[in-house]
This record gives sequence, C-alpha cells and structure tokens, in this order.
Amino acid sequence: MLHVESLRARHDGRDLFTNLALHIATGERVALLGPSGSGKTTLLRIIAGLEAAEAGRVFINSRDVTDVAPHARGVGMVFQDNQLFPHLDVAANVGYGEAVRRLPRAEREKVVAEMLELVGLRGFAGRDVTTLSGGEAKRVALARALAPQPAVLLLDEPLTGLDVELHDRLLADVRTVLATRKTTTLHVTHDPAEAAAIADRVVLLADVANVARP
Amino acid sequence: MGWAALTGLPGVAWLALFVGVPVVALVVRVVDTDSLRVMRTSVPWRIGWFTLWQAVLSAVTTLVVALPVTWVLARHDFRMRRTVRAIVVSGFLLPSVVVGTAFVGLLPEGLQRTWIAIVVAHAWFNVAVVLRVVGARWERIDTGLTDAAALLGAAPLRRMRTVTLPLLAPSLAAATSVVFLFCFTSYGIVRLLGGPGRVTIESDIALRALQIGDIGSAAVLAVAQAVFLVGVAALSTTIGPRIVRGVALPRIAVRRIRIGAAHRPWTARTIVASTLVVVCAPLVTLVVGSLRVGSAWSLAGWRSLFSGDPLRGSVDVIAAVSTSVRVALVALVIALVLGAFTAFAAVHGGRRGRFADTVALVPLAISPVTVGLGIIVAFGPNAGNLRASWWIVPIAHSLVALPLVVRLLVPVLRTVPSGLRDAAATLGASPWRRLRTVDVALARRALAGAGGLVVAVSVGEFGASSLLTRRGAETIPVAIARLMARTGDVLRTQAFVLSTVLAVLCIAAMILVERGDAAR
Repeated sequence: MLHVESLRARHDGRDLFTNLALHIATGERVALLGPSGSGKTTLLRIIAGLEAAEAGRVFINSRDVTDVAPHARGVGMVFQDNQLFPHLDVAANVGYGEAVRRLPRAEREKVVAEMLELVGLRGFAGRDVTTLSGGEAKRVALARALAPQPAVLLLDEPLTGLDVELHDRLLADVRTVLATRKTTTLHVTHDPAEAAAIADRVVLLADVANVARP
Repeated sequence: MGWAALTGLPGVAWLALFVGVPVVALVVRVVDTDSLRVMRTSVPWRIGWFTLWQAVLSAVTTLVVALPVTWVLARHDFRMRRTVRAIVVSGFLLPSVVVGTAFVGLLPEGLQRTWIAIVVAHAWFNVAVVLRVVGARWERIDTGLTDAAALLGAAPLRRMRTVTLPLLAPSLAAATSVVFLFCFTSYGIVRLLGGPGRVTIESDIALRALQIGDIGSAAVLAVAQAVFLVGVAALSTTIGPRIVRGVALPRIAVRRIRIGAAHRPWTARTIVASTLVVVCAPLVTLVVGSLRVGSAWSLAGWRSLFSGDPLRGSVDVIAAVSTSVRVALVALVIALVLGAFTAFAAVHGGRRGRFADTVALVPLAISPVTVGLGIIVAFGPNAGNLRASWWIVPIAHSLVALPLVVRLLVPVLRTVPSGLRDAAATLGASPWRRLRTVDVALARRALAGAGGLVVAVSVGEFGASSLLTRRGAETIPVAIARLMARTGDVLRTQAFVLSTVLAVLCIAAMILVERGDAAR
C-alpha cells in the first residue's frame, strides 16, 4: 500500500500544497483530481523519488522510502508524455525493467509477450517506438510500467492529448488492464469523468491537503 | 549563370590558386623525384605509428576529462554557469603555441618532452570541443527518459550506460573524430612539448622542410598524411553511421536542475571546481612565468616588450607584435570579403553557389603545414618567388580562416527573409545595393564575429607561418617558438610575455566572435 503524510511541496518560491495526507490500500485504484498547476505531477514525482519534498514522509508497504533513491522504491509510472526510449524497440522498452533485474532472456521475452498481449499490441515487439501512433505509444508506456510488477503504479494524466474516440477506447482498456493486474494505483487527472471511470475511489487534492490558491 | 552564383567565383579562384596549385605541385613533386625513398626507411612508419597512437590516446583522454563537466553544465543550473562555460571553452580559442608554452611552464621537468605532456595538453586544449558538441545534444535528451529508467529499477550508472550514452552516441562519435583529427595534425603543441625526440608526421614535415631542407621527403609525408586523413574522413562518413545509430531527438525546452536541488550536489560542485582549477592552471602559469626570470620575480620580460631593445639571441618583440597585427589585418580583409561573397553564393547561387560553398571547405581538410609547404614548392623562384614575399603569410592565413568565415555566415544569411530583398528590388534597388542594404546590414553582427574569428586565427596561426615567415619578420607564434627553442631564463620569460600578449589578443578577438554568434 501507499501512505504519505504531512507532505509539503514548493515550486518557484511558493507552496503548491502543505500537509498532504493520503492512504491507498493494497490493490486499490485511487484517482486524485485537481486543476492544472495545482501540484498533482509534483506529488507523483515526490512519491516516485524524482523530486524531494520540503517536508513529510512517503511509505510504501509500510517501509519509509522518503530517502530511498527512485530506482530502489518499487514504483512504476506512466508519464504524461510517455518517455519511451527512442533508441530501443517496443520489446526492449517493455522489457527494460526486467533486463535491469537480470531476468534470463527467455523469461523476459515471455513477460514482454504477455504485457503486449495485455495492452492489445501483439506483433508490435520489433517496432521502432518513434513510428508508433499516440495511442500505441501510450499502451507501450503502460506495458513497460506494469512489466516489473511495481508495488505502486503512478499514472500522470495518462490520457491527455488524445482525440476523443481514442481517449474513450484507451480509457476502457486501461480500466480492464488495471483491474486484471490488481495493481495499487494512484492516478492524477483534471478530468472527473476519466477519474470516475478508472478509479475505485476519487479524492480531490483540496480535500487531502492545504492547497495554495494559484 | 545568375549574378548570385558569380559572387562565389572570387573565393573559388583564390582557393584554386593558393590551395589547388600548391597541392598539385606537391603531388607532382612526389611523383617526379626520388623522394619516395623516404618511405622505404623505417623512420616515417615509426613517426606515423606515434602520430596515430598519441592521437587515439589524446581523443580518449579528452573524452574522459570532458564528460563530467559536460554533464554538469548540460544538466545543472547555478550562478556563474555561463561564466564557467565561457572559461572552459576559452581554452580551445588559444593558439596552440600559447598552450604549449603554458604547459612547459606548468609540467615538472621530468614530464616535459614526453608523450604524456603532449596527451595532457591535447586533452586540455580539446575539452571545449566535447563540451560544445556533446553538451548541445545532452541538453536535448529529455530528463524524463532517465527518470523513466530510474523507476524501472536502473541505478545511476546503468541509466548512464543504457539510456544517456546510447542517445549521446552520435555526438560522442562526432566529437571524438574531430578531436582525433585535431590531435593527429597537431603541430604547435607537439613542437613545444615533444622536443626533438617526440615527432608527429606534421612536425616532421616542418622539420624536414625547415631544418634539413629536404622538401622532397616533406612533400611525400604531406601527401601521405593527406591521403590518410581523407581516408579516415571517408570511412567515418560511410561506415560511421552504420556503427553508431543516431536517433533524432525531438526539440524540447532545455530543463536544468538547480545544483543545490540535485541528488548529489557535491559531486557536481566538485567537478566544476576541479575543472576550473585544471583549465586555469596553465593560464596562471603563463602570467606568473612572464613575471619571473629564473627563480626571482622581475618585470624584465615586460620591460623588454616596451623598450624595443632586443637582447642578444632574442627576437624583436615589438616587431613581432606589429607584424602579427599587420598580417591579421590583411588576412581579415581578404577572408572577410571572399568569405562574405562565397556565403552569399552558397545561400542564393543555386547549384553553382553550393559548389563554391563546398570548395571553401577544402582548406579544412589540408593541414596548415601542408598549405605552407605547398606554397613553398609551387611559388618558388620559377613562379615569381611569391613565397619570399611578405604577402604570402597573410594569404596563407586567409586560406585557413576562409572556411570558418563561410560556415559562420551561411546560417545567418539563410535567416534573412527573401521578401526583404524582393521589396528592395521593387523599390528600385540594384542587386549590389540590395546586397549592401539588406544582407550586409542584417548580417552586420555576424560579419563582426567572423572578423574577430579571422583575427584570432591569424594571430595564433603557427603551422603555415613557421614555414613561410622570413627571419626578422616573425609573427608572434613563430617568435615564441624561437624563444622557447633556446636556453636562457630571460628568453624564456620573454616567451611567456609574448604568449600572454597573444592570449589576450585572441580572447579579445573571440569576444567579438561570441557576439557575432549570438546574432544567429
């Protein structure tokens, strides 16, 4: 499970939020709603260890990871702009985390095939990621984040920038994938419909923290 | 032929006369005489082997020294970042003779005249190449990619190995090959730091031509070196891209983190501090050396600069400064006028204009020592003895500077909207007036920058000058090399004084270049 307490974040010399407290049970999917620029992405980056909080603590599976480096936290993340490695093909992107864990090649290939199947991209293994469509790239990013079976999955506005039809189709697929994997998930978005569609529980940033007026 | 293409003609003609004819003369000389005998001895092969391995080792050392500071400057933001970058880059702007002199002052006696001294000085000199070439690409690698790798479990070293280095690969290959070529044909540093025992092909060509008077074997070595370098360049453009697969990086807003907010702020700070010490140490040595005679503090070196009273065995310092300035001014006029015309032809002259642009690159492929040697062979007593004329030195400098001027001006001229020229034409402006009131007016700052570059190149040029300068009419770098070749504390102090003067002249000229660069 994920537990954060008394978190405070600053940006450009002003407090984004103070005293943020959030608890997500194992396997629970929570959507956090808040307007643009309110510090949602910063919260995810603090949980992932990519940024340091001004104050507060982060716990994953009851372990205090506040001072743990990002690569040792067991957190997966789907970035708003995917951040697929442009020099690696689809299979190498999805299998990156497994390669880091030195999983034997045969097992790695099996995991990659399973993940591509799960996100509906069977046959895409050898594709150059720079030639993928927006929706395909998003699916690869989701598969890559899920492959190492992270303790917590963070989704940063994962469906932003897609056209309406693609958005709706992908929304349904993400919901199915997350339900299948039963991964503890924190999903931040400014879209209430998207939040309600994916999550078991929706919380407003303003309800879990003191939020600075933008 | 359109009039715009015609503007490329003077540059092409100039290069044909002063590069084409000398190169042909060199080749004829090689074929014509029994100079090829030199290749049947072991000497050139031994020198070639040393040239090759010192260049490889220098390139690798440069990369190792430069990558940490390139990382800090590409990824971190801190007060004085631009100043630190300017200081690191300034090393490359200094003439090789100045760098050589500074390292003679800096390195302990035991290390002087060794390959270690040459490699260390080469690495110091070329850090700026890596910083510019690799840094520009590093800034464009989205930090989100390494963040993503971290969240997939990759520790910092693994992120560097599996994400950053593969994405940097094309720039690493480009920087390494440029540094390799610079070190392969390096002359000033090898002359000053290698001494008679450590000779590269380039310094051996000069040695044979200048001291032994064996022009034939010098020509053979010059042609052999040129063939080798063209081969390396051809290989790196054909096979290189197949080995190093470059991925196009999207244009992104450059994001740097505050150094205090970085995960390891002290690592970054230590790298910056130690780089500054390493970059500044030779320069400080230069100034300190100019203020000491033997082991005592003295202003004798500086006094001799102003007294105009040359010591026995010394060179006339004031005459050297004045020669360098006059040579630079003539080279400036030639290179700037021809360079501006050629750049205009390259942008507006269609296929023929682009041909002129390509021809203007040729001097980059031929080392300055080879240019000088070619001129000696081609323009001897049978051809008006131009090689003995004062004018041949500024002409040679114009050849070295011309490609750089064209490369600086072409991108600027491309940004001038063609609509402005059309508007001027409809208002009755002749082609010449359009050139003057639109293109030249808008490229003014870049022209000033190019002018600064020509002056910096000319006052620091040593390769061609060392072959073409007459005794009594030495330029500053030639005078420094003469002083350093002799024994005596006062002479050495004078060399440090002249090196300091030359460094200041170059830095002043390069400040102009930076301003012109900012105009792009």
